[in-house]
Amino acid sequence: MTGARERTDSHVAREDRLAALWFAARGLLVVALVGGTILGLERAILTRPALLGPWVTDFPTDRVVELGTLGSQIVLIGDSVVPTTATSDQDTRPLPRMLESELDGLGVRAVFGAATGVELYLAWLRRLELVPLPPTMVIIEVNPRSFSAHWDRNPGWLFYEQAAMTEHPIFARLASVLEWEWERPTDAEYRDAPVTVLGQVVGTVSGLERHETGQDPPPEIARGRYLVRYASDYAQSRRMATLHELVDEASGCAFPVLIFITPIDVEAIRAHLTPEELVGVEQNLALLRGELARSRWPTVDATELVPSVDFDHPIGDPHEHLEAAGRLALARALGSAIESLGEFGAR
Amino acid sequence: MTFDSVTFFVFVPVVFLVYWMLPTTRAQNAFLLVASYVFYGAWNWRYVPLIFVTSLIEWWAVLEMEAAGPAAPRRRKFWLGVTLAVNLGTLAVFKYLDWGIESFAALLALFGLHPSIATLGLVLPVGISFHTFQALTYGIDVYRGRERPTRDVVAFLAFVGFFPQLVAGPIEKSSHLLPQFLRARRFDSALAIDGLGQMLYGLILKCLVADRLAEVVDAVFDAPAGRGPWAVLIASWAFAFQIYGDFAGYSHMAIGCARLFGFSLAQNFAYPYFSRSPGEFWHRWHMSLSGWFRDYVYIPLGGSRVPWLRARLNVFLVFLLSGIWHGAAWTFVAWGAYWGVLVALQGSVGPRTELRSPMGHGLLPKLTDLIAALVVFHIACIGWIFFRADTVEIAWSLLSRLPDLAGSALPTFEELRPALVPIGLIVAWEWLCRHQLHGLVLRRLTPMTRLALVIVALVVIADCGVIRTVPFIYFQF
Repeated sequence: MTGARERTDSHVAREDRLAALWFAARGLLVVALVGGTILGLERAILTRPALLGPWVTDFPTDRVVELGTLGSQIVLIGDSVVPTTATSDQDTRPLPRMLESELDGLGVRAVFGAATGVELYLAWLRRLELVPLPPTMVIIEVNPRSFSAHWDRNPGWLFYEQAAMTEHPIFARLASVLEWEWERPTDAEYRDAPVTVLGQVVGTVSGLERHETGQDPPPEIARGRYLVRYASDYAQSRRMATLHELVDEASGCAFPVLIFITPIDVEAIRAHLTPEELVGVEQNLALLRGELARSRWPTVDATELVPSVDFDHPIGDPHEHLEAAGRLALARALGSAIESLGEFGAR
Repeated sequence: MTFDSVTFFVFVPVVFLVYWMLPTTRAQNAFLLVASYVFYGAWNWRYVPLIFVTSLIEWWAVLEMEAAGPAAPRRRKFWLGVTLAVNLGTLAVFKYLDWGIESFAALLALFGLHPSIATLGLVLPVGISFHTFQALTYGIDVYRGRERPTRDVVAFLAFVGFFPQLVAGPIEKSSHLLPQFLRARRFDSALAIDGLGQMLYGLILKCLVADRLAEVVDAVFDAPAGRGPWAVLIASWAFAFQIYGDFAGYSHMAIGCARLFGFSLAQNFAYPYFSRSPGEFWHRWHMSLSGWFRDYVYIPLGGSRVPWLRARLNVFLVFLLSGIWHGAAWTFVAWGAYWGVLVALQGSVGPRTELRSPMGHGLLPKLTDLIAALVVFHIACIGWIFFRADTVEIAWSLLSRLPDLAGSALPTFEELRPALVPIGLIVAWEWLCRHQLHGLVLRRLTPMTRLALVIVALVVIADCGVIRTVPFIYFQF
């Protein structure tokens, strides 16, 4: 039988408290040593990706590693706008090939992914800064729509985990193994996310997007899509802070980094939205332009560069894929900006 | 919040620091209680009041039982009934009621009756079987006069809700754990280091063994149609080690974590797959549950001090109840009955064997021991098929394929690799470590070796761990 139960409040001995504190301090030192060693290992992986990268699970060794070993070339980073062509195109060259022609055959390598965002571009840029043979120049696409409620809260279109693994192949993967969610919303949270335009709630993503109606929805649903994708408040996007970081990183790079805003179908947007809602669109674009203006390298604002007819999207499901004429116009704009740099890096 | 989450590894240091800075044991207990409820509430805060209220009733009923005194046996029995009703009643409603309704409807359907049934569809509170069984030990032991009740309600609530072992054990007897809440805890640096090592070992078991094997297991058990006998055998091996890695991993983390706070929890696993008989297996597997059933069911039924047939019936009954404890499904009933028959045939739960150093101290096992261990392992694997299958029919269907092993083509190494690599590594490691309480005794190593080991372990977990949430299997019980 257990006896003397009622003396339940005794003082914790001072030496126990000190011992625990000392243990915690030593624990902190161990954490620092372990963390430092792993950071060093990560640095070794990033600077010798071709050698160590293949040993690291989920570490993207294919594109960026290859790019980092080829030497003199321009690297074009972006989303699906970069590789796509339209079925009606006579000129089937994708954007990088057109840009090569504009630059008299200077090599342009593309790194892209569908529905990617600035978080991944920032990680790729940081990787390229560390590889043995960095590129001569980097061009980064910034798609306005990626800051909209439709894209920036979509769990499947958030790349913070991949970006972290690109920069921290051990720590980030360890966090993912240990169930870190990278603040990714659930599908339900995405669907029910409120959409605001100029600070006013206008609906939810699912209510305005109505994915189930396909690519040719009735006009009122199409209007909702334009509203979400271009007029919803980009200021609320988590990606805005990342864009800020990206511009800072680009400005600090040893090689030129040209950031451009993707052309958007301005005519279709004007046709679908009210003048008040267009103010929201203007505010969004002004935010992006304001960020890009901080860069020490030339930037290209191509938002209004391409007329509606040169976009390759259904009118009820707007996106930024370009037909040949649109790609050519963009390639020329980028080519001009590159030429303005003179010899790369001379600025 | 689970043990294999970043959140937990932030939570524990914070709780550790605050806990040890508090001046009195009462303040420490109060803080542990709050921390434990935060831990539990992170899963589902709606069930925090359930554990709070049931624990409170248990505490109050036991005080009333004691107040009745030995002169009023009927009142004592009444208050014991209250504690049993609260704990078993909670378990019955949340865990078994829907199963009972559905099983009754299925029974009626056999007679051509198809009543319109309604189930409650309640979410099973995580760890309910563990904390109710732990709370039960208190009421029963006080009733038996083996324990004195405590008036310290905070200490009692903290004992029931202690976060390291709240959701998946080890199931502690009140006589072992509650007194630790009532006296000042000492901080022992060496024990704390050992606790961290044990936590790391548990994490390795969970992330590198259980979660990796889950893919092999799920592929067969989630889509059993058309799977050949080798696939079934490999999946049963894989599940044997998945559930071991998962549950023993959790237990190691719980025990190690409790050590950081100056608590000693009961050992829950002692290298069970090195057992040479079914009885020995149950001395080494989920020891806290086996001990609970031994002390609170088997011995009250008469244990082995009853006629031969009755003793065997007692063993069978204990395992049947253990199966039902695991889950509200006929697969668990079949699993419990299967082990009940096997252990009863052996005679009893068997003599207590030396827990450390199973199969002796030699570097290599004796051939007879090795054969016996392999036989017991495969006996366990057959049981695991029932445990893991969604229905008894699927389990039978999978089992019925095993006799065709001889006539089937041997699997290639590539087919075997996902299961055999983690299994081979863990068997080899545990064989070498079987003389210790767990597989990563850090305190015997130099600080630099410890550091190197921690770095290697974390890098391997990062590189080889699975990025897919695989819930702890025993949380569902």
